[in-house]
Amino acid sequence: MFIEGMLENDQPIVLDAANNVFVGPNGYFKLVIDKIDNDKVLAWHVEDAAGNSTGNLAARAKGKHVDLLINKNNRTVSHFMGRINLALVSELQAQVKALQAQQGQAAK
Amino acid sequence: MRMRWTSLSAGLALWGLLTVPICLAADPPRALMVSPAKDCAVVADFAGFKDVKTDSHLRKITLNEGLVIRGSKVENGKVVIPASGLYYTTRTPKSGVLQGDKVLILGKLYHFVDQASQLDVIKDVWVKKEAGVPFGDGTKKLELSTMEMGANGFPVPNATFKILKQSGNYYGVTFPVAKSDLLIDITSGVLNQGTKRDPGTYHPSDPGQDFETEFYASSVAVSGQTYLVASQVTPEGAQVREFATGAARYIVLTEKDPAAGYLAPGEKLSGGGFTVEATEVGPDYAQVKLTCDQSGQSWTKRLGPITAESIKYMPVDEQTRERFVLRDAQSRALVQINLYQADGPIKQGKVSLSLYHDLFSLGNPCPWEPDRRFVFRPDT
Repeated sequence: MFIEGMLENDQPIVLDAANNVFVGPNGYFKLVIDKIDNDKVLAWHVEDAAGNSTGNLAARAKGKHVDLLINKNNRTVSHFMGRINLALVSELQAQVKALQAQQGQAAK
Repeated sequence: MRMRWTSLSAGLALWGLLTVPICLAADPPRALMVSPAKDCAVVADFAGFKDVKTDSHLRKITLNEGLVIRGSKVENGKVVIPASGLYYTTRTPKSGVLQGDKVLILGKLYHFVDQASQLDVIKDVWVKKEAGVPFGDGTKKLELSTMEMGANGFPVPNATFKILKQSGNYYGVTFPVAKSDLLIDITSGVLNQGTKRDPGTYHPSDPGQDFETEFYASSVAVSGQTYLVASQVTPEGAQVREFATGAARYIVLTEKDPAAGYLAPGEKLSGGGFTVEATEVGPDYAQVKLTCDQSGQSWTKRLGPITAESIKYMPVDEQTRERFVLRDAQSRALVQINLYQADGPIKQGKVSLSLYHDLFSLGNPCPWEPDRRFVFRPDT
């Protein structure tokens, strides 16, 4: 049986402010570094071949790295997500709470 | 780099001639068996990574793409992702050959035509607690993930092994083993017929029923072809007498739809520069002739017999599977008898055949020819 195939980068990828785009296999997606400051990446995103963007992905890692998971329906991705699900729920609750507080202040 | 499919087809046709997976040119340190950081970015749904429903002779399945980045860092104004640190992943839920299953790669569906596998075995190795030993080509590990003391309420070590795969994920089954004078090893067969107890409730004080000194364990753990035999389990680690598990050697795919149909003797199908003719159809077999249209070279084979014995391990048994397929000498085309066709492989004197063509092979690992900046690797 064949259950999973991977297409991996053969050589290390190095991106900076000048050389800020890595194009995925067959142009299927792009990894774009939008803003970097020495030891922090302040903004980065992934684009698909149709130009859809994920939006800025820098928040969770606070700019320390660009580790990433995309598509919860892929079992490899969902296994990794399963290890951090509880943390994700807590983070979402905290974000909802912060937004509610902002709205509350704005209403005053 | 976006490649036009017209030029890609020619590349893939040449690629199909490669029967032995070639080595990768340079081999920098790779982030294999590495998980993404726990504070990684998470995108639950994204249009560019698809979930595609497909149909086969047997069932409908959904194939799912994804993207993973692991082992990355930011330093001195640069983002660095190690080799194999970024991977596109495509999942094929237990797809098999012969049954019309498909594989999704970068948004395109490919017919899953052929495959070969291997069994990797290691023997007499000591595995330390929370450590692992490599096996096969060194891209996977047998990991002694947990050593639990006191699982039964008294201090005896219980080891749980996991198989860490190239993707950083674990094989879906764990392998718990224990071995101690305080435990009854069920590999002796002591529980094969059950115990002599009658249904009911027992107390330790009942004559001959002190179940609080009766604890079972197994020094062998299995999952299908995969087995682990422990000869010693201690709080510090475990001695593995033997461990074996399977892996893919290569898979064979094509983007082109096969020529397919029920053929009576003398009828033909053509595709990709090849023609197949059913020359004889019996109750459980068919004689077929495959011809290369350009060279005129031909190959003949009697496919079958289709019996309960011959199909019992189909489609995974690659030795017996050879009875049901015919290839040209360069493996550019493959004819299969459709064992899993809904109406049966043979009906009313006709045989259901598929002629796959424009085949290409993907090794474990091998360069991804349409874009050689990438390596294809099955995660099995």
